[in-house]
Amino acid sequence: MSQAVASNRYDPFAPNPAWTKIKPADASFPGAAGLSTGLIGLGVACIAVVAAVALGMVKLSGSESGLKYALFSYHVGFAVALGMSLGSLGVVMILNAFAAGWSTTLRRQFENAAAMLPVVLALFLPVLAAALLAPGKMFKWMDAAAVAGEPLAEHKAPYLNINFWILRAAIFFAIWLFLSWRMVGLSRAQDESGDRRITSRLRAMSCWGLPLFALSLTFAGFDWFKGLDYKWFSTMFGVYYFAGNTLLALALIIVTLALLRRAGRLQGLVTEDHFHDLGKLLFSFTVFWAYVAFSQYFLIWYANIPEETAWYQHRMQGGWQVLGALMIVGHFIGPFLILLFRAVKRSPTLLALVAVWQFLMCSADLFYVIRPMAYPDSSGLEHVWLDVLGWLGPVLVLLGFFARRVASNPLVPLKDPRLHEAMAHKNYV
Amino acid sequence: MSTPHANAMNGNVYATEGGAALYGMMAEFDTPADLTHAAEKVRDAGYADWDVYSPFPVHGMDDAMGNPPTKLPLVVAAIGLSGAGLGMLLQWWVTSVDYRIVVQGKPYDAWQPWVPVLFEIGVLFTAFTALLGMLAFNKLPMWHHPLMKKERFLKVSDDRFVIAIEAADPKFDPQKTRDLLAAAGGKHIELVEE
Repeated sequence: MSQAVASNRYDPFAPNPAWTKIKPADASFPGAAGLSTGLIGLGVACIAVVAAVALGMVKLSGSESGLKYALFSYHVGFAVALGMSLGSLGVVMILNAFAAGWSTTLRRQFENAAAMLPVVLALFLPVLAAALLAPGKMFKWMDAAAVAGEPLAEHKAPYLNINFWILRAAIFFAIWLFLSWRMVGLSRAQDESGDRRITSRLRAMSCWGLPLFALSLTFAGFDWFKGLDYKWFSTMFGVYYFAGNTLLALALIIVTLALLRRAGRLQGLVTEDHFHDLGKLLFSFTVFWAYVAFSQYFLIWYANIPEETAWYQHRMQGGWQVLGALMIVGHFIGPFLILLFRAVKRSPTLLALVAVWQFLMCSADLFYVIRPMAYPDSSGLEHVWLDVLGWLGPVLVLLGFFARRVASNPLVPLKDPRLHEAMAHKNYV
Repeated sequence: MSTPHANAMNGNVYATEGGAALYGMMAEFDTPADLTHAAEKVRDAGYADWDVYSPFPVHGMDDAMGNPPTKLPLVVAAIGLSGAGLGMLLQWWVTSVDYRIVVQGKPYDAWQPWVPVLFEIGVLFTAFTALLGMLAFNKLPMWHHPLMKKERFLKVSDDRFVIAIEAADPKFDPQKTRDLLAAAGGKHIELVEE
């Protein structure tokens, strides 16, 4: 009698039979650590060259100052690294908030990427240093003398001033670091204890964390990327930035999972059915990105107000229009048509190839937002090698630390109460 | 009296004891799992003209029945993209060829305003093709089905699961088919009149 009562009581530590089905060889990959040092070393080397240009130790041909070009090039790499990590934090919280069962075995890799936010903070320091030491080189509004008497700069000064800008950056990172620390840390703690209450706590935290995340991401997008042109207006920019970030995160995780499967890991844990759904997510965010990007452009085109159109006008000449066309064809139409096919979404290799392509397109998209601001007039692209290094540096550093984290943690949440749902996951359509 | 239908393969004409032409044979199952396992057995026995009936969609039934993947997505994509293309063509013809009007000082051939309509027409054609195509592929609406005359079959909209094999199937044989359904765990195996 007492036995029956006891078994009916909620036991937060009740084991799930699915836990024992995980083979250790499938759920760990210490071999990934080998990549780490190489990637970080290469990334640091790239950043060092960009820094040398910034400090004037390497002279750029035909330009008065390498500092500005170095800063803008690095800013693109910082944006991509931030996007991968921040986008992953968003995905982790969305999966937790919706109590998603199918994705349990995928969540750990998103958590690993979200855990890279301290690295992103380190990568932000050069941007901060540039704002303090060379104000106005990147963000024109930071140079009070240069924008003196400009009505828009004065009008926006209560928001766009350097103290408030730094304070906001501190708030953004405080929110992100706290959320990622709890999301990742609690999930790891559950690996040891198997405490079901952690799943509930993560869900509750995700529900209040997502509005904070959405606001901080939107304003970070305003501050660091849209704010490069203080004259511009676009209320759509935050959504546009979110769509790109989530695509970056999905691309990173799809490639990671495909590589882990290629290395013989995650057998029976991450299947074609999971890739199928990741492919659907990649598809939907491709469409979402295009929808938002076009909406932003379309409203500005229709209203035809000079302070809004200038941003696009600048990007429709001097070679930037080629990049704009690439965004339409390469970032949307091509992946849209390819991802319609079921076979592509169900093949880890094909989906990973599309993900790599979308990763490059998202990078090009951020480049399209950031880099033209280095040219006040509509002169074309110069110093491509510097742009490549500035992009590669932060990205490789982040990927290096990410590989180390993948290697040093179980590849899936070992004692998640919904593990069996993910292991039995099937797509019937 | 209705005309008896000859079996396509062996030419036999099957009839019930009362002399009515035969539609086929039905068997009942208690759970979706029983239904799925029985469907696998019928599939493996090589039947082609048969179907399963359930109060709700059963996951994995397509595989259990050996159904080929649906062709509907191809039709939807073809008609959806054609619709989007036609929408584009119409707008181009109207705004920049046939009836040019200056709107807000924009060029006659500006592609930007066409995009929302392109999107909407694409969605419209896609949605209608998906719905109507699904109905067409399922031969719906179907005003009459021989199974509807069976009192016991009506419970399939509540808590019963049914497999029905048609007499027109080349492999149909009153005794062998009955044995197969019985071996698959079917209950209340009955003949169904045309």
